[in-house]
Amino acid sequence: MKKVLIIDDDEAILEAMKIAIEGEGYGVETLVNGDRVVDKVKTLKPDVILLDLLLSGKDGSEIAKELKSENGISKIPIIMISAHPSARDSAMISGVDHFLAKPFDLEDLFNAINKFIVS
Amino acid sequence: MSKSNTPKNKYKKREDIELKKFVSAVDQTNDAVFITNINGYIEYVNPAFEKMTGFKRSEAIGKTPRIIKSGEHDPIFYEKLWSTILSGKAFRQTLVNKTKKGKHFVVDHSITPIKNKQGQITNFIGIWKDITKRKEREDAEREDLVRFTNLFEQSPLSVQIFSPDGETIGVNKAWEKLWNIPFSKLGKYNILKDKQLISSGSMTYIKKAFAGEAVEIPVIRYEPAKTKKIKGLVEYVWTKAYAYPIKNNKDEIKEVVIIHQDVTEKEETERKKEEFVSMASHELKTPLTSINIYLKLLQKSLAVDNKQTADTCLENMLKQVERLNKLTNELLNVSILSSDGLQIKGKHFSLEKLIKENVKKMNGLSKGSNVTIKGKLQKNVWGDPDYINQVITNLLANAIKYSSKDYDIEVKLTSKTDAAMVSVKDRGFGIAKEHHEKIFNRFYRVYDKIDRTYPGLGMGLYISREIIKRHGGNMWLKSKSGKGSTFYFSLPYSSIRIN
Repeated sequence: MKKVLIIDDDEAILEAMKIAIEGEGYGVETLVNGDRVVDKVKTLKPDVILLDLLLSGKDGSEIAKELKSENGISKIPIIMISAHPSARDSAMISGVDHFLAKPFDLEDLFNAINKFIVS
Repeated sequence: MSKSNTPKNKYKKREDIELKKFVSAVDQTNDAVFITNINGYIEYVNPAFEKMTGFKRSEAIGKTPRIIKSGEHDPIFYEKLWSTILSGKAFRQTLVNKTKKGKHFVVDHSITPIKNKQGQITNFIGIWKDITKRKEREDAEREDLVRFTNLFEQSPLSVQIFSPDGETIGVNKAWEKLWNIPFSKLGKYNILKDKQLISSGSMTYIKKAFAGEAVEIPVIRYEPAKTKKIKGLVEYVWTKAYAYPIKNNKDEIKEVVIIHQDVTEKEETERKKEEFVSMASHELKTPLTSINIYLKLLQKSLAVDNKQTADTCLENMLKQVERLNKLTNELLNVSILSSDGLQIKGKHFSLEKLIKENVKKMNGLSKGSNVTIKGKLQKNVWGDPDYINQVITNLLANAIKYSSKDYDIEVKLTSKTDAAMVSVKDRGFGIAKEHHEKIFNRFYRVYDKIDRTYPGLGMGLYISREIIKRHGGNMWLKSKSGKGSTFYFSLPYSSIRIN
């Protein structure tokens, strides 16, 4: 089963996305903060990462940069999610593969995940 | 042969003519002239003296000049006058005199001894030139100077004056206050070479002023240390400035003035407002995102008749709607408080009962909770129970939010003379002293990253304190970083009208 990792500090969103993405037939892992993300990603080996831009403890774009510069996991596609549509540019600069503004359409989320997992 | 033809008579005649000319000149001059004998008794005064002093010749003769003494000069002055003229020298001084009617006038006074052929002093001749007008003009000029110096020095706006080539010539007190250094410490500073003003875009405007135009310079954030390292300099200032040239009557620029206004507080509030709006919209979007996902899921599960998922969706959506409700209420409260539209429906009620109900609810809400109440309140308080309830909920929620997992919160009730006092003590990570007052400010958030774990608009304490203040009470806190916090509020027993 293909695996999606969601990193978001809002537990309600985590749960909603988990239910939705599991419904599409993927396995879902969740992280509620940005602590030791690189280690956790190495262990979990997800196929796609959904990353919230505004996290407690660490900035989402910082995490993206770390993940993208780490051997072995740098190829894992990252979809950045933010409530600020204006954050798109800075998110793309940090090396993420896709950007979704909150509140996003569920179909758009599925399309993005499917695109990265299929390819 | 007539007498007049003798040489002696001829000489006498010439002397007469000259004396007549002299007397006529003295009579017609605008300067007062008087002659006294050796003892100071007046023997002669001219018409200008009469006019200047108001004393007729007949009134003045036989008197001493003491009749016009104003009392403005001390005895030492007169001693000096007498010792000078008795030694045979002339005495010149500015003198304040008094007319017969008592009006003061100022004269350039000269008194000269007149000597006979043997060199003995026989008389004194005094001449007064009325300089009252000149004196008044000088005083007015001096007053003008003082007025303009005060205007410059006491202006609440910082004023800095530059030479046409950009060097600083002078500053006022407000300038020293603004940058927190005395002028003497500035040293050489040429504004036209200030790189920070070039990069901030202000130089374009400043150059216009040096070219002869009055300009308004848009607000910038200036960091003086980037330009000059001086001990004590303020770290940064948001400043709004005006610059204008000062020209002489030939239209040449002699100086350029720059007036600064410190708009730091206003700008920072503005920025906090912007941050708040951005943060509030983020907070509102978060539950909306969840609701959006659940709605789509609900649609799908209804299509395949999956009741279990549908129920989960509905249940979670209700929670998120409740969260949105709380956030919008908070926003609404902020706007009500800012527009001063808080309507207190006051009555006497039991604060103790209200607190007990809240604590019971809190203890039931989450497992592992432990809120205890100590003390009792003897009297009812006056206020709007709905608003006071909001304050209590907020303080308890904060205490739980900022405590560690197994929280232990103590609510203490104390009866004071005029008011009930309530304290809520948590064992959380505490609040550093620098935030104690600011934490109650609107738009103020302690920007610990940890804060993000506890969603909300961060307006709770501002709202709570405003509510309490409008009830005639007060709210404050005691806390040490890492040692937990205690929030206190007082609420009067009787209604207090506050405007």
